[in-house]
Amino acid sequence: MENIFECKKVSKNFGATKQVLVHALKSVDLEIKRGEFTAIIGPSGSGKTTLLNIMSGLDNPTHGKVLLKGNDITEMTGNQLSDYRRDHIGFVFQAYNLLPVLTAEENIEYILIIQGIPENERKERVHKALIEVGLKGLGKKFPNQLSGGQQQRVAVARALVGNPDIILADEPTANLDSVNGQALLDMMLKLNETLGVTFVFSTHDPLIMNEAKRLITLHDGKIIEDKIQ
Amino acid sequence: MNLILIKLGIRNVFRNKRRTFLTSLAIGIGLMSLIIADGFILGMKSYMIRSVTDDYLGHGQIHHKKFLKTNKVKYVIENPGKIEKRLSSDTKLEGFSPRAISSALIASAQGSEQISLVGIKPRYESILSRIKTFTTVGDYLEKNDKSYILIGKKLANKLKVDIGDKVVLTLSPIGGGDLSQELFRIKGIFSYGSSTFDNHMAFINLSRAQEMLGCQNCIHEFALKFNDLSNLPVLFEEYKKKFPKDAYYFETWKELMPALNSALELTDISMAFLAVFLAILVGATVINTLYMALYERKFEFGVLQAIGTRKKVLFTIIITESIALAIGSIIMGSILTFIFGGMLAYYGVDYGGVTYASVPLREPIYMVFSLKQFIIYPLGLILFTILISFYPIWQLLKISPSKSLKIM
Repeated sequence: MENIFECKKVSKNFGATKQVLVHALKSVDLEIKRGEFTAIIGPSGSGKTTLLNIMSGLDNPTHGKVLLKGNDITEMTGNQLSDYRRDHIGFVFQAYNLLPVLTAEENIEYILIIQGIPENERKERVHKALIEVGLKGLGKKFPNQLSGGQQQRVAVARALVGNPDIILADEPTANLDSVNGQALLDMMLKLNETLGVTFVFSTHDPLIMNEAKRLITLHDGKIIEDKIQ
Repeated sequence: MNLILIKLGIRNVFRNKRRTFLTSLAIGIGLMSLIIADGFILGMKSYMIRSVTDDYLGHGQIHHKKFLKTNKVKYVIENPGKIEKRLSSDTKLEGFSPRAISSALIASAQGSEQISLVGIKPRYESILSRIKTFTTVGDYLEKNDKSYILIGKKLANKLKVDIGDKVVLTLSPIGGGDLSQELFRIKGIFSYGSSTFDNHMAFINLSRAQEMLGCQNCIHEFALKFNDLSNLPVLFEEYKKKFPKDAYYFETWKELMPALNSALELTDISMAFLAVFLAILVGATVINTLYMALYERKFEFGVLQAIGTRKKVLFTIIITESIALAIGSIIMGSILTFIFGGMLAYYGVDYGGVTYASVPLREPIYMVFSLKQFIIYPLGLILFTILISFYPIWQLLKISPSKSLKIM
C-alpha cells in the first residue's frame, strides 16, 4: 500500500533560548499508509498534538521533512499550506469544531465552498455525507441544537466531504460519554473499512486504543513503540 | 463572494445580541449627533444669511468703487438712472432699492446723536428689506412723505422722542459749503433687535435726502435681491462682470459682511472638529467591540484555518461583520435622528434674541435635514469602520493557527 504520509527526522523545539528550550519532538520518523486506522498515544506533553500539527502543516518542524504523497510541505507558503489542508486533510478536534452560526449542512458545505465546488454538486455531497454519518434529516439544525455526539458526527462529515487523503482527529471522543464515544468510533471504523478513509488519532481513550489497527506510542517527543494490532 | 461567507459575517454580529445592540446604539448616537449638529448648523447658517440679506443688506450691493472704503458722500454712482433702468428690467431680481447715504446729526430737545441717514424710495425699500415690517410703532414712510422720518427704538429712547415729535437733521452737502439742516417729524419707530440699526440708523424719503445733500438724483447704493436663491453663486459672477471694478462695482453679502462670513466659516471648522471627535469615539467603540468579539473566538478562527481557510477569506468574513455592524448602527442612528432631529426641526431652539456675529437670533433656529446627511455621513461611517477594523483583524491573523488552537 502507498505511503500517503511521511515524517523524516522531524524535530520541533519551542523557546527562544537554551534555558527555556523545550524539545517537543526529537527526530521522529513516521510513515502512514493509505487506509490505516492509527492511534498515537502517550502521556500529556509527549508531543502528540505537536506531531499532528506538524503533519497538518499548522506548525513547521524545526528540523526534518514532512511529505504528503511525496510533496514536501515544509517548503510551502502560507496560502499553499491552507490549500494543502483544504484539499488533503480533514480535521476533527476535541470540541468546538463547528461554526455555531452555521447549520450542520452549512458547516459541512463550507469545505466544498472553499474548494470551489459548484452548488448542485455541493448539495448532493453534503446530503450524502450526512447519511454516511447517520444524521439524515438533521442538516438544518444549528450546533447548539445537537448533542455532543451529533456535533462530532457533523465534524466527521465535514472532514470527510472534501475527499481528504487523511483525517486527523485530536482527542475526538474526549468530551463524549462512553456510549456516544463508542458510537462515534464505530462510525469512523465503518468509514475506514467501507470507504478506505485513513484516520490518525491523537488520544488517551482506551476505546480508540483497542480498536486502532496500529498503535504508535510517543514519550518525551520520541516514538518508543509502533505496533500493529 | 459566496453567500455563505456573507451569512457567516452577518450571523456572527448577532451572536451576542446585547453587545451588538449596545455597540450599535453607541455608534448610532454618534451618527445622530453628527447629523443633528450638521442640520442645526445648516439651519442657523440659513437663518443668519436670510436674516442679514432680508433685513437690510440684500444679496448684493452696487457702489462707487471708493464709497465703502472712505464713506465720503462725494463718491456717488455715475448714471444711476441708467443703472436703475437696467435693474428694473432684470427678471432675475425680486427687487432692488436705490439709497442715498450720509452721516448726519439728529437732535431733539433732549439730546443729539451721530447717525447714518439713508434716503429711500419707500415702495422699493419695502420689497428689498424689512424696515416696514420692523416699524412696529407708528407708520412706515409713504412716497410723498417729505418731512417724515423713521428712527430706531434705542435712538428714540436716547433722544426721548415719540411718534409725532420733531427732530432736526444736520448734514454736510456733497459740494461742501454751509451745513444743510432740516426739521422732520417722527412717523415711525423701528426695532430690528440689532444695536447698530436701532441706535444709529434713520430713514427719510430719497428725494428729500438728495435735496439736503445738494445733488439731484445722486445715489450711493443699489441694494439687490435675487429670485433664485439656489443659483446665487452664478448670479454673483454674472453681476461682477456686469459691474466691473474700474468705476463702480457689485459686492456680495459675503464681501459686505466679512465678519459674518468668517463666523459661518468658523462653524464649518467647528463641525469638522466635532466630526473628528465623534470619529475617535466611534473608533474606540468599534475597536473595543471587535477585539472582544474576535479574541473570544480565536479557537474558532484556528479551526477555520486548520480546515483550509486562507487568511484572505478570514479577512473577508471579519470585514463583513464590521460592515454589518456599521449598517446596524446606521439604522439605529437614523431612527434616533428622525426622532430627535424631527423634534428640533419642528420645534426649533429659541435663543431669545441673542446676537451672534452681529445678527440677532430673533426666531427659533430649526434643524434642516438634507440628503447629504443620510448619504455622506453613513457612507463615511462604513468606510471608517472598515478602516478601523484593519488593526484588530491584522493582529488576529498574525497569530499562527497552532497557537489559536492552543486555547482549548
